[in-house]
Amino acid sequence: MDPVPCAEALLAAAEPVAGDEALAALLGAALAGGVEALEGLYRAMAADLWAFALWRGGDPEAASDAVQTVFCRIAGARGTKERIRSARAWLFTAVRRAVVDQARRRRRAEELDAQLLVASDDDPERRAEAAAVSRRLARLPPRLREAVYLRHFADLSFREIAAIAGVPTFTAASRYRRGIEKLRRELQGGAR
Amino acid sequence: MKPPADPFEGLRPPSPPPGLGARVLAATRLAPLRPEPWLDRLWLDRRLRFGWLTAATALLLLDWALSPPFSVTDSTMGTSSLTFAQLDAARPSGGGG
Repeated sequence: MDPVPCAEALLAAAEPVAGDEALAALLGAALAGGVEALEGLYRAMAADLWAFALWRGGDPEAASDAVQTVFCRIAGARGTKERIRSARAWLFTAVRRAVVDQARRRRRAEELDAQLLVASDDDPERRAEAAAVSRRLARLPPRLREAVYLRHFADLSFREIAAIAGVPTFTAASRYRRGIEKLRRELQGGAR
Repeated sequence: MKPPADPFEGLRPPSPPPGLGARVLAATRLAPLRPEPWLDRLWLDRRLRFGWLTAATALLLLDWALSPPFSVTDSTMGTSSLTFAQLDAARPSGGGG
């Protein structure tokens, strides 16, 4: 098996993504009641937020509801000033809360059977691989799965992931490492 | 067979359903019309949050400051508050041990 980098090395490698200032400005304007800013924010972030909600909750319809809840909250903020350090982290946190609230209301654990990954091209082999990796991802605990998504696909720093999940930074890095490690192990087991 | 170093190579998360944008933006237009639950203001408004937290802390401090230094519970007389000086005075004189 490939060596998995330790959490300290991952922490050192994590850099905040560029362009967050522009996103923060959009979010600020949307919270202040700007309709165009809200639409711009939707165009910039909806796909990432929806995919994150899908990875966290496992239900496409519930993911759509969570995204809608968050954007309605922004639209209904009525100009309330919030101190926002990272716009992306703020949005992912809001979506995560919406998904967790939905799951709490359902009060039962559901089998995650949604397709969490798709192939980037039309290659049938790649599509089969996407389905296989999705199945293995579904077996990961949600807290590991969300760390993997936020680091790998949303390109967030471990500090931001920690803020979203409400855990120390080291724990966020450790969750990512464990998630990737477990997935690799599962894939290795399945490939034999 | 060895799995790839990047298990997500050539894969990406799925895109949201096509109608989601119209649905969300339509819902956001109605959001400001909805009355805000007044109880939520207790948590969401920073000044109110600071106000009630300060009031609760002040009440706790006041309770601690005004509490008697020593209290004795007696099964027949209920709870009474006595200072050490009062307890010394109540002790029978010359009684040792």
